[in-house]
Amino acid sequence: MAQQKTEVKVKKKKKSLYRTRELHVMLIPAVLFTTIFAYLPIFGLVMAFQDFKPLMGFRESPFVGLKQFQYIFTMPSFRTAFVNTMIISFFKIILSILVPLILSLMLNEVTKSWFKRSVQTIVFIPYFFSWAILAGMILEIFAYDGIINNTMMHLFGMEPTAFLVSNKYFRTIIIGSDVWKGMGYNTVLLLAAITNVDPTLYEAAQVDGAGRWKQVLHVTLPSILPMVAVLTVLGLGNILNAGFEQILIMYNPTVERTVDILDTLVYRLGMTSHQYSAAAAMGLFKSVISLIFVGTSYLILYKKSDYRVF
Amino acid sequence: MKKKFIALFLSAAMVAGCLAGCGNSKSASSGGSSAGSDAANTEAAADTKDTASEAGSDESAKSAEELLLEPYEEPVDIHIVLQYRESEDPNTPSDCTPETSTAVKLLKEELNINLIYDWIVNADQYQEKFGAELAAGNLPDVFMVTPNDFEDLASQGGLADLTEYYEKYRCDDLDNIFNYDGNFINVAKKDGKIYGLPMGTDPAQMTSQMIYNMTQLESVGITSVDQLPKTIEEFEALCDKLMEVDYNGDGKIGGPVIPACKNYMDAQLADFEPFFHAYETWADGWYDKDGTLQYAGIDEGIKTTLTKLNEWYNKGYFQKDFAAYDIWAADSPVVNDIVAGKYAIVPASWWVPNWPLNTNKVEHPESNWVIGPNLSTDGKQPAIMVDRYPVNNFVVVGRDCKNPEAVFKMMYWSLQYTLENSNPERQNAMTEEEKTEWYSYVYTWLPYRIYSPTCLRTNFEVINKLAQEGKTEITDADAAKNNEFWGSWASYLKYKENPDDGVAWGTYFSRLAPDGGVANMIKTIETADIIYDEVYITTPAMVSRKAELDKLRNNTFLSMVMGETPVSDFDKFVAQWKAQGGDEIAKEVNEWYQSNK
Repeated sequence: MAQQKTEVKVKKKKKSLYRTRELHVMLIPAVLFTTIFAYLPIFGLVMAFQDFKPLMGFRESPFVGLKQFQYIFTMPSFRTAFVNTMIISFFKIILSILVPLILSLMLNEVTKSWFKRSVQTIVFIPYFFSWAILAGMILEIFAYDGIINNTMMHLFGMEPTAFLVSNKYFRTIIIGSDVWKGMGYNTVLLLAAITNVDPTLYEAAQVDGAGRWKQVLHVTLPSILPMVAVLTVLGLGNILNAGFEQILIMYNPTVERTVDILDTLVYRLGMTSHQYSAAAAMGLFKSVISLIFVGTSYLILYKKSDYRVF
Repeated sequence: MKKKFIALFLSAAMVAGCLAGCGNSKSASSGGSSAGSDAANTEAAADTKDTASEAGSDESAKSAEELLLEPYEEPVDIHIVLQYRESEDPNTPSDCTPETSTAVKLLKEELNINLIYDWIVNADQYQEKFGAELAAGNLPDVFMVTPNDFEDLASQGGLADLTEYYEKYRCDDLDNIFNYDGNFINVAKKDGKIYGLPMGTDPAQMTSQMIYNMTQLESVGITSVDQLPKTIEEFEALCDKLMEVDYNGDGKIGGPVIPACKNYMDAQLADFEPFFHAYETWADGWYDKDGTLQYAGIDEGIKTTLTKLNEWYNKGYFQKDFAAYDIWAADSPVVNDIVAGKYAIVPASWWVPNWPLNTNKVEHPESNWVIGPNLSTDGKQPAIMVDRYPVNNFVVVGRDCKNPEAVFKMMYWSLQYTLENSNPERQNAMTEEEKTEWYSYVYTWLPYRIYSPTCLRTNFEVINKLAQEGKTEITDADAAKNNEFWGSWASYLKYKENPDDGVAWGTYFSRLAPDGGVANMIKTIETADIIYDEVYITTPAMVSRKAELDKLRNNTFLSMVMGETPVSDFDKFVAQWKAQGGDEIAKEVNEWYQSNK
């Protein structure tokens, strides 16, 4: 009897695999992509423990133990970069959820569907542009003789500010522009979650005498909370990715103190100074910290709200 | 510091040679070796086409010059990469790209060498792209590297040993370029083997200059050259006056009055060097102090310089966000502003009239640029620091290159091609087609230079002597014995013919005018007390630490100029610099210095 049961099980499994074969085929590119770009490079991390000379390769470069780590931890620029990374990504994660959340709640209240849709589209557009294009625009806008300074000067008679070299403002510009660029994506996700809320809940709330505001507070928000949680966890996984491409294109030496992040430092160490081993060591350090962050946040989420991402 | 101006020195220096040319000075520059070798070479080249198969057997009978011009029997691929900068020659056809340039075409036709560009990036991205390719173990066949990278690559066994080929193809024409004094090639030796061809420049080219537009300065009452500021104090007074008038006619008053850029340390244009030099301070270099080498970039004196610059920044002399603009970036706004005539003052060096001021002169013929006195604190010429051995780059061959000798052939070919076609007589006889071909020869797109380090000064002296004698037609006997001579001579003739031509003015004023760039450079080096930068080697600690240290220095100075960090934190910077590897480098260079004394 028992044997029969397992056979049935195996058959069932095989059958279901066969039934979902198209889906599995569709998975192939993604699997290939992660294998090539995420798993294979792991072997390269060996150079973090070597004094790696590219022309000698992994085999001939001498092993130096943890010397590279000692070196990077004593680098003052490393400390600055680490702190900057945390600050920038913290604000990016919070705002990139908060802003779309507010936006989607507001859009949900809009009754004219053409208006709602066009706003959605317009907000989504910057998401599709590469930083190379957007950064050029943003730098132009915030330049000393750019639009912002000119408007401020003409409207309010304010002295122009050198935003691009200001350690006071530049970090805000980085965070703000990143949130602006990405907000369309999360808005669409949240709006989808909102539309999925059971309409009977709203009816019940209305019967109980809840107004628009109370409905949002007690029906909409709790219903989309799981989606918000997912976005947060996904965001936490990126806590040490504070937006390499954006910062690399936009920063300059003066504001390095406030916007230099681990990735730009790794890039400079590796690509400009050819210190591949130190750069790899820093990259490895970053990955380990990221892993801890994702792990913990996932665990908390799992324990507290019994929600599984994976 | 060296990294960037190197390229600039060479590129600017070579312009005359390529713009207008240098006759048949081959016999001149090659000294005793070949009066009639022109004919001999062509014959040899023709001959060997038939006998190339036996080339191995009768090589010993041929002179180096003949061997150099011998085409390959089988096509030889030479992979190169390019730090792209637009052609300096305004005549270069706009549809001419590195791949379609004359060198690529003719090297194929005449030597059977396929020059292949593996990748081309803008100058400001080169270092990163090269680093990425290197990480993957990719080296081009022929390329130019900084002394730092030379050391790094040679120690990894990445460079081909050129000793054998150097000896085989040794000739005066080529020695003039990378062994001009019979010793220079030694800087490229490791354990007695040659791993690169050093490219040098005249140490005097490190001096800085102040250039003023007299037309615009009239608005503040300066009408003659002797009214130009000599001291920092007078200079400041001038800037203050300029701040209050609309000297450039753009309808605005107030700053900025001095162009500045992100590369404020070493751009040699729109940089702070003239001001550093005024206070006898330098951002880089190792000088001998009581027998020990000291790093100039951490000298106490720099505090004074930075304090002054900070004061000027606060007054609005520089654009508030100048540090955001890279002067080498494509279409750089700083350069555009200079060209547009926004500035009456340009901190510069000898080549600047030749670019970008020549473009300004073309667009604004009324501009009257003059070189002012070198600034100082007391009106006297301050001491200057120059390199003991002016190595800027090395032309090297990657270890995987199958034909390392090709680099000698290519350099020699370029030299011959330039010599032949830059001759003013030859140029006058050119058909339209030939002209296009000549203008499509862009030397900056090649992975080597054929520049002789001593030629600037020699040409200046010889041509000015000829000019004083009133000569307009000269013979080989009058010519100086270097490959840039005819180009400089032609630019002199062009300028004499039409002084209003901005392009001709630029070349003439930078290198030949008695009050021009080279003249001021020579005057400076001859009158100033000289402090030598003794270190021309790269030590292991420099390879791993110098880039970050330079960055630390640049960022600190910049942040002090802009008032982000108080200048009083300078001592903190010095301590940090030492701890981050500065002490290590100091130890290494001093050990080297003591053992080489």
